[in-house]
Amino acid sequence: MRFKAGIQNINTFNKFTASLASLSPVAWVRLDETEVRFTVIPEQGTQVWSVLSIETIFEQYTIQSAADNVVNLEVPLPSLQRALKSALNATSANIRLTKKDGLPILCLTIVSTSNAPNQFSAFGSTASRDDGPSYDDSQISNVTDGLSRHRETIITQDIPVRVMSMANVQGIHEPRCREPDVYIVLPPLLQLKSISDRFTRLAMTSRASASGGGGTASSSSSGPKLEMSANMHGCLRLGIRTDAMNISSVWTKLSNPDLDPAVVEGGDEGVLQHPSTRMKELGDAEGRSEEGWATVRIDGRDWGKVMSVGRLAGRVIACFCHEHALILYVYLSNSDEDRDVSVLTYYVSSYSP
Amino acid sequence: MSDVSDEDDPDRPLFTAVSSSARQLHALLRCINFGPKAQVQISAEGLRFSVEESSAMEGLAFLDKSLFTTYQFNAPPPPSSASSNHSTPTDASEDTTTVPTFEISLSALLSTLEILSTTPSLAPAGRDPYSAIPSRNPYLSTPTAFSPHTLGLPSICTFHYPHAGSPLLLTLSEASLNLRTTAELTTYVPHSEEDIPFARDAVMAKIIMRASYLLDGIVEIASTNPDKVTMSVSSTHPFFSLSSAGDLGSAVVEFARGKDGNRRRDPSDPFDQDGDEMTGGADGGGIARAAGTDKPPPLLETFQIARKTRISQTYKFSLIYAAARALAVATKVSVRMDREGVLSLQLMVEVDTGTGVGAKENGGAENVERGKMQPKVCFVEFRFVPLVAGDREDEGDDDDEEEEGEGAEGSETEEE
Repeated sequence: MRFKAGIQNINTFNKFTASLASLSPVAWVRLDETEVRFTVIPEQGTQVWSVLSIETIFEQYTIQSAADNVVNLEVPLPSLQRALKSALNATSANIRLTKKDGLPILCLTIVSTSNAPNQFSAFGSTASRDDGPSYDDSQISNVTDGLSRHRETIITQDIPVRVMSMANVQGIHEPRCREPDVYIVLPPLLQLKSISDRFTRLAMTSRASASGGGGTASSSSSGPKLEMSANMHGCLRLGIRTDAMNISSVWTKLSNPDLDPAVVEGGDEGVLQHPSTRMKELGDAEGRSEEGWATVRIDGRDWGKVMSVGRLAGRVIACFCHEHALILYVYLSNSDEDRDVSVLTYYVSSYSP
Repeated sequence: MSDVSDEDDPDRPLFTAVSSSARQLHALLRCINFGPKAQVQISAEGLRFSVEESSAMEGLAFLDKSLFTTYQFNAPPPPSSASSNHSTPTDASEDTTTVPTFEISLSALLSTLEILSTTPSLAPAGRDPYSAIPSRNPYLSTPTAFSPHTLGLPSICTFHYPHAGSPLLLTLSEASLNLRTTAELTTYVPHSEEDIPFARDAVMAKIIMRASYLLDGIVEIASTNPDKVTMSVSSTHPFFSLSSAGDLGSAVVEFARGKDGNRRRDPSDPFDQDGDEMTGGADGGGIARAAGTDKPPPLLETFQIARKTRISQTYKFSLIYAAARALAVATKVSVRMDREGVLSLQLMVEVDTGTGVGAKENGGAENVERGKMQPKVCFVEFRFVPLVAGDREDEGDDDDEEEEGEGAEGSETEEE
């Protein structure tokens, strides 16, 4: 079993890992000859199924295994993210699967150059050693070129992983969902996040002040529920209801992407019969009407974690299954022409009212 | 509910107002954010918000109608009119004017206003998506060149109160983002409509100083974690002092009057214009700065005391400390005590008018350059009930009339 690659976009890879790590500490990573899949299935909350093209994060990629050149790993995301963080200023970084003391590890080799003036070059190396705690299992070696003042620092980070057998992964299936009622392109996620976080905080503070009356003591672990709706006329509504207030924000003039008959079951006929086609007849572009909305109720805190993927800043299409689920497709590229297949799929289930 | 008089459109709302800067309103209301609920009174002059804490402290903020671009208050007909043959269960007040009064959750209102008043995170994501990461620190989140404020695109905030008993509706729209937020704030029946009485005609002492000086004194006192704070004003040294005793010792902060602190009324008293009711929105933030052009103004810019005497009152410290947040944003504070020992802190708060959209430019703007960002002066008031009423001591101990160290922040002495 061999896996070895250079990391091309350390920044993207780091942000990607960070947004997954906010949802779950472990990810199932599936590497094969054409793509890299990261899957996160927390015990509770949102699942993420992401597919990255190899060139999105890797270069000079080699994969080999007895099982059709597929490698399945269970990777601790916080360790991976910490390792990638130390590589942010690197000139190059490589990752490979290897064994250390009989245990499988992902070994990240980070090369960075500092061309600081001579009197500070000593600082450069001690500073990286001072970051100690996060480099527990790393070795730092300095290669000093006596003529130029360039110093090359090599940091090795070991991430313990577990190799998953085919039997392990066979039972894991992507959630299946009925055809959505509404498709809509979300506004920039950071904008959406700033408002939804504020709503969540608002509900939490009002609940904290009201809990003296012995009200809803049922849900201390779960956050307040946000109500999210969209229609087929470019409107997205996000709201929350508390004792003191009922607040909602409506975005208008968003776009509802058209269905491609080539991928819909039944072709053109299938598009005509599709729930979203029927939803198009209801509602209006200003979001004033109460008709034509597909609504889901989501956990505010979980949603805040989902929204952290906004730092990757791609195009996001949300699919609303009324009272059932919300599926987000987060594309890493913003343009339509770019045929990059990398997409993160978030499955958020709806709470009952 | 009941029938409306003929000339009134039955759909005519009781109150509507439009503001082009939610930031101003937020800045003012945040000053009195120490209680869960705020009582709101709507009048033809503006909105009056009051927050009360255990009947011992009250905070008042007045949103003058000049802070709004449109302000429409359709006073309900007095209940004593002919149409009141139905029993109108409004209230038992025999007032000639019926001022709609209700309570709302202040934190809910502030959060709503915040959605637009802290706009940078809402700026449309530019080419560099990582610059749009919202900052937690409001002081760091300076508007960018593309934020709606800079571009002069107003964020419109509409208040709407259709009729008595209905929720207060706030609508915030940000046209550039195609975003509209609607908040329905539940209105509650007010607990009491009585303010803490402050006898304006029996003011025993009045001191005007920079708010930051008083804040420094309060913060200094806070280090001893006291329960109570005693405020003393006397005609001799120490002229004004804050003292406290807590578990960790005691602290006294004395404010020196300075050499040219004379008893004549400072002509530039900015608090003069507020007659007997708080009237915010008086523009001309330049007046205050007009004083003391050559030398720094004395620590106590105005010092008035009724008699050659010493007034000393004790207040609950946690209440006084609740006003610290407001002191931090205010420019000047007027400290007054009446005969009953009720303490009134009137704070002058300058709120920026953003791009000036909708800021009314009436007279008094001669010392401010036109077209520039023009801070608008508003007033916030706090009233405190003393812990022991009528606790009065004799003459001051030291007769050190010429106090050194003018402009210094008083002297602090630690005992025990």
